[in-house]
Amino acid sequence: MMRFAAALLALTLAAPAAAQLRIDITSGTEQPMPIAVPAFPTSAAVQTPAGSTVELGRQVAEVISGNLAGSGLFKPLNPQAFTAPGFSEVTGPQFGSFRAAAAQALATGFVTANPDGTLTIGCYLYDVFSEEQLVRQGFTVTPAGWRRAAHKCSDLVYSRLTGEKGYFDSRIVYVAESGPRTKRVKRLAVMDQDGANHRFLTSGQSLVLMPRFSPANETISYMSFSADRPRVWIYNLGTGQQESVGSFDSMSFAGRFSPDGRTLVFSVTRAGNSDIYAYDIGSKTTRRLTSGNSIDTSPSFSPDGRKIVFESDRGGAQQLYVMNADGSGAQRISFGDGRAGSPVWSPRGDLIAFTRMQGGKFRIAVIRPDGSGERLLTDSWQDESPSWSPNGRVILFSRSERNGRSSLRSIDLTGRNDRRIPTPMEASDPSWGPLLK
Amino acid sequence: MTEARAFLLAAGLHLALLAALSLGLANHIPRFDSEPDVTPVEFLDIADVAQVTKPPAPSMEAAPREAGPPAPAEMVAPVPPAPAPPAPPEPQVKAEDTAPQDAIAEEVKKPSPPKAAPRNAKPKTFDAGAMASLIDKSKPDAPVKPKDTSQFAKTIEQALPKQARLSPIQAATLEQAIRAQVAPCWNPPIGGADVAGMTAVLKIRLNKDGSVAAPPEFVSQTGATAGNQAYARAFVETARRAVLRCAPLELPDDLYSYWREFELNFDPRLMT
Repeated sequence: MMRFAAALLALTLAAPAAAQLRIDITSGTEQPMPIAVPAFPTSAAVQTPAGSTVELGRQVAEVISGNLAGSGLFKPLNPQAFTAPGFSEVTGPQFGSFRAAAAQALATGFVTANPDGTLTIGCYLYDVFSEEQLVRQGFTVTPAGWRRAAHKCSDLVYSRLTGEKGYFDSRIVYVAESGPRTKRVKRLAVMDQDGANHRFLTSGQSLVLMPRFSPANETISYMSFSADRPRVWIYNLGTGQQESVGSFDSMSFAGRFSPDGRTLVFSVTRAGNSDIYAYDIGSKTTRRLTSGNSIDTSPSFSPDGRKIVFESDRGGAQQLYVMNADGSGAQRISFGDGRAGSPVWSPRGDLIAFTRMQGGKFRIAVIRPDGSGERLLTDSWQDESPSWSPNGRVILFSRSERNGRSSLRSIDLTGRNDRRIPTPMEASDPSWGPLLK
Repeated sequence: MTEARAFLLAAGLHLALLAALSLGLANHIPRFDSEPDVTPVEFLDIADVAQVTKPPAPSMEAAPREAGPPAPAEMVAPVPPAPAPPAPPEPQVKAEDTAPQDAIAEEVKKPSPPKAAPRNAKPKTFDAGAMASLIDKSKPDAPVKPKDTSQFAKTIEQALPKQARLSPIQAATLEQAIRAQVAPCWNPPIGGADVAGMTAVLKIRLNKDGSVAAPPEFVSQTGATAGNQAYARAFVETARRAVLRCAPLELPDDLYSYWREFELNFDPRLMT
């Protein structure tokens, strides 16, 4: 009896409510995720105007690898490191070879030629550890449009693994520069975000500056010096039509579209005073948003269209201000050393990118719309003209070297992955367009 | 009225376009070739149904090495990936594949049965018992009850698999060991807009060799909203991947009862 009681006592002492071990993991690594992107197999080798389906399958995988590597968040593995799945294995791959290659994800798919001359490019994403299919999607394109399917597939993979929207199926407009300093030729040019499909939009006869993509559609605004007077123009990429914005007897600068693409905000300079105006593209009417003797310029809408960030010297030096879209309630958000200019609101809404000028350097920085959390992202001699990727993750900008050469670069908003965007000649003033439909 | 105007305008523009084209002016208008269309298509599920090559989901039942399962479940592979050639994946019934693994598992496995840490017994109780037994021995007619109770209590303690009686030092050491092995494998999506305040808790179940006994189980998450579901899901997946990627964990054998099952709270606050 005593023994039993003692045993009972011991039992109650030894088995309290199971206080399970719970451990906080508060840090991790920031290594790019290893991903396998084998050549996409085909059901049958068919010649298309864009090459054989076998060759296209290899090129599609290359474009996807290039996109993912370019984001800085993924490390596509050398295709030699694993066994590429055959056509019948795309929907049920064997993971051993990918696991042995230390891949964490597998992006694969197929290319098939359809009887009507189109291609179907299938896109599948697998988690190598859990062996689960994470997402899949197919795209039907003309053979000439195979790159777009590869970009769509890249966006599918990127968004599924990061939880953010993709940005690869998009384009960039910028100013291509050539010729001697004294007689510079500047032309508008547009290209895919990876530099492919490059083409010029203007001949270079008149000077062009500050092209800006509409976030809503295939329209850009830009400045052109015709009759020696800078003026904002709107250019429809689909139709090739252009129109001049407003009819000011003075100079107008730096147009930017509202998120819905219906309004353009820009600044107009008269006798040393510069104010911000809004132009309604439908009704062709203008409205003045700021007034006073200060220089107010570089307006950019918030993604909800309710606010506008702009730069102004009303407080002495050039700084960033946020106001309501009707021009009321302007509040300064940038402080600290030096000046701040060319702000642009992230499509995600959480940050504003701008150029921080201090100590003789121009650097790309981000700040929250309430003025907190300012961070410098780049450290070079002259980085300026920031523009966001359509998902608000990457910032495109132009960098000038001390020798005068300029190029396009991009950087992740974490300040990592500073990389050059290939252009056939010198380049400046980039603007990243929306995701294509 | 507006319709009529729009129609007239459209008609006018068409005529103008026709005129421009017929005059060969189109070549002079800067035009942008419209992008080729991409039509998304859905794939049917037929292929998924036909997937019979998938290995059975790992479970606690499949875990014990002693049973010698014919096909090693992929998730609970007890040996770290040997530098084997990236040959095609092993067929399920390859005898020489399972045999060496079992042999290694036998070698790795300590012959002693799992037991709770002996340090759990409170020193005072133990000393009293020992003293009593010493006294008992010196006096053969002394009662033996104190000794028996103490030992009996100890055996019960040992028999209990789950007890939360880890000393603070042991707990800290164990936590440190787990953290040090999992953190380097975790690649949190820190660039996301909603990363602030996002955390995820997973329940981890391990085999005695440190391999995962079951897929990490989702327990809870903070910071997830209706607007960031894709991101919240990707966040949890990075945590799950970290555990699978790091396994097998190397942890002290004698504390297995404490790390057989535990929770990990993934919180990237130090990285943002």
